[in-house]
Amino acid sequence: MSLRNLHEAQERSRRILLLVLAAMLSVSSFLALAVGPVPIGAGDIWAALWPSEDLSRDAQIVQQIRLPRLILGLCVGAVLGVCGAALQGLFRNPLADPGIIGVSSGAALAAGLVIVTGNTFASGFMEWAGNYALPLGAFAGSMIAIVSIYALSQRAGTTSGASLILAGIAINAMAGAALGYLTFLSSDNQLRQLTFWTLGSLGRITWDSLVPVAVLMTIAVALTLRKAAALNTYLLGEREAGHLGLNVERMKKTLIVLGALGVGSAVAVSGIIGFVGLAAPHIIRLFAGADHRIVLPGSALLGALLVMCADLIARTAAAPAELPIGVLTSALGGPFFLWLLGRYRRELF
Amino acid sequence: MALELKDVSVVAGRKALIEGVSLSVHPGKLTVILGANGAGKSTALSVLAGDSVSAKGEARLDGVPLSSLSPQALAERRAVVLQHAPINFAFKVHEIVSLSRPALRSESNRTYAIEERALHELDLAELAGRSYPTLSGGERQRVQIARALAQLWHHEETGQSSYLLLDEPTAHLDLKHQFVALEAARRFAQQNGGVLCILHDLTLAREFADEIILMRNGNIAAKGGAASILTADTIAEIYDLPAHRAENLALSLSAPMLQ
Amino acid sequence: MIAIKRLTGAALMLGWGLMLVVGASAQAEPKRVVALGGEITEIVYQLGAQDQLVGRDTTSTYPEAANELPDVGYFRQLGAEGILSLKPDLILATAAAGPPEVLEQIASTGVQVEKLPSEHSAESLLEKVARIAKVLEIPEAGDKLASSLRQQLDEASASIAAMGDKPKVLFIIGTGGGDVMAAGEETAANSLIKLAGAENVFADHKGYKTMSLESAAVAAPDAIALMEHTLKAMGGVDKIADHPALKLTPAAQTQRIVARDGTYLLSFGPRLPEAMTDFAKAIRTEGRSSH
Repeated sequence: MSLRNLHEAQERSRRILLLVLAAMLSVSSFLALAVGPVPIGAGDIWAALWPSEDLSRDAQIVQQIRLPRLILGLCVGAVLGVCGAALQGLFRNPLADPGIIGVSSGAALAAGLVIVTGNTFASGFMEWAGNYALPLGAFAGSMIAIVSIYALSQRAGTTSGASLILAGIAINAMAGAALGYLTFLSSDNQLRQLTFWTLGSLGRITWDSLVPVAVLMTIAVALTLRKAAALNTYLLGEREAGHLGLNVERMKKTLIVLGALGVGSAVAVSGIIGFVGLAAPHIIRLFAGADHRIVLPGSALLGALLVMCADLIARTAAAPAELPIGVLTSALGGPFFLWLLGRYRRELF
Repeated sequence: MALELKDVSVVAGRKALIEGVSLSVHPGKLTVILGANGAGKSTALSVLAGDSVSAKGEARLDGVPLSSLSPQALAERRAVVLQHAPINFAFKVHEIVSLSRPALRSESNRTYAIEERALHELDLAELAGRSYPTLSGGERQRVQIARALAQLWHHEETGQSSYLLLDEPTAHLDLKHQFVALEAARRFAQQNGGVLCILHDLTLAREFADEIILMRNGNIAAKGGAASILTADTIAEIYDLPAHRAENLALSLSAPMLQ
Repeated sequence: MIAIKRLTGAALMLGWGLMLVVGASAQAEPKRVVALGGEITEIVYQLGAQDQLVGRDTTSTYPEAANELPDVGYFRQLGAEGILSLKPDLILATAAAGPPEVLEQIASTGVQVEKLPSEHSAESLLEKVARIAKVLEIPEAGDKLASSLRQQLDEASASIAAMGDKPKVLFIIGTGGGDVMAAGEETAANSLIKLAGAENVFADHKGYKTMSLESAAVAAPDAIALMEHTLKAMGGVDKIADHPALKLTPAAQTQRIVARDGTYLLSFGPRLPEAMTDFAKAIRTEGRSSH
């Protein structure tokens, strides 16, 4: 046995995994630009990548619709993958997913509040925050959700699996009830916007609304990636991590803020896209083990890949109409969750 | 030089877990704590580890209060193995051991050598590539001990004394590996480390302890060498045993050990 | 392979260029139009401009022929690219169409997006006719249709006014469990009830709200109106007559339950005069006596 050999073999297989994922992501990104209800030639796609006043109709479709949608898909997928992995680490529970434990519905509820009541009760804030009003509201909502879930599910310093899931059910139910009450208050138009949060879609993005959230999501992903080593130590146990010199309280707070920031901004622009945060980290762990130095970047790439593929189906399957992407990911993710539940049954109950 | 408690009390709710406890762990010595369940052994150990913020009294490392040391500084000087370490994630054994590394120190020949030495020390060489959750309870315990040893060895070059705190390290181990684990602890002590070890097995305590501390109801009942401490009277008192059982035990402990 | 691709690319661009040139030089060239909203599709047909239609939304099911057009989805949940794949140069959209961002996206590719009023009134219908005729550059057809519609509307109003009485109507929009969802103030159904010279029993609520069973019974509507598909979902006229709360109402007792196609009744399109008169008659006469 040599640890050096073990380590180097592991590094090699990780590099290959990341390369394969990056390659698949490049292909799917190209497909996202090239494939759609409108057939578009390579020349127009190329032209669309450069700023120009004088573009053909097809090039404009790529530049104004497909390109922002591609960037949004990459950001949302990466954020959901990374935040899913980080939340699973934070709760030391492999079943934690922003959707399942209620972080996404917290964000959606807050976004709904901003839409329905923002102009009446907080017009100053709405004016001040502009395009950031929705993401900031969603950030606050997911923050409250994470902190309450954390408080509810914590038992003697560790998170019990069952109580985490139960806390998630409670949070989801409360957010659902509040959203239901909002629909009662809302006008017809606001109602349509609310439905949007619960189904999830990448189809509404414009350059103007993309920029602020893309910035926030990039920050969330970049800073979470830097927590990989600390998360590894943390998984030994809260006290054990403290004994190894980790400032546990600070790390937990950082992760809560980053998770809320990432999930909040993702939900603000794309609604609830479930199960990506669950599936991406699990698939990476299956191939490459539990080390967060591979799980986090791998989940970012795979999360982006999953969202891109789901969106490709959403855009083309029922063309010229569109399917909501959240419906697709949940249809695929639901059975996956049940399978996981079976796998972890013993640890959970 | 010692890791020590000075008149420490810990209260949980209305119940005092330990009361006015003073003890020291000295470099070069393996100290064993014995006592019935609920006697306060683990509480005393966690105060020594620097965990218990609600403790009254003082815990000091070579004279410096633990509360004034940063988690990182403390991690260079003392390592802890707690009773159970459930991990739901599929880390490999060598990855767990590598978590002993200080933050920002990456792989090098030196770190490999230290971690390999720790794995060998606990008879884990064959298991280095295995997934931690698939190990048996005893194997996991050995991995945790190896991780704790490596943690202190990563700072060997500073030449400062360091301390290893073990809470029932042999609980799930088979006979052979009980000796493997405690011999590793003794070797660590012989290289001028201080070891504190909570045990339930009196035979092992007699075999390995340089000093024994008996705890009862949150207090220290007696301290001293194995021969003077492990008498029928003290055993009967500490474990609340009928006299004839305690006498049999004391008798068997005084018989020469079979190799 | 690459050469062929380049050639196709070049050919495509050339084709586009030609089309742009042609489009610019000959103004009468037929447009490619996507209609979003059932009443808008109907108006385009009434104006005789249906040949220019290349797509429609899910609610555009009248006339029958419109069903042959590609369906781009429900007009409140549109996708930009699906619509653009039909290569339209004009989108005729009801103001309720959305999400707004999607219409923005479409407009940002240079397609003309014409938003038409969505108020539920006769005036708004006439305005829609005029605007659509204008953007399709067939103002004469627009004037003709508008004056004919105005005449029909006047006739319909006059005949309804002649009916004299003011029956109470409950418009059920859907059911969830035991409750009913009813149309209140500021809804298409409310406007229709008013145009039909009747009173909406749920008018003290805004929008579509759940109505408790008790208040439905207490409101004592003379007629219950709903869309055909809602009636089907509720299980038919007999189910309503047996409904624990609704059966206490005069409407259920006389089986004055009026079910019509939703677009016909509520889209406020060119069939409005017909729908008004039909509805006004039905809520006064339909039921046991006429069955």
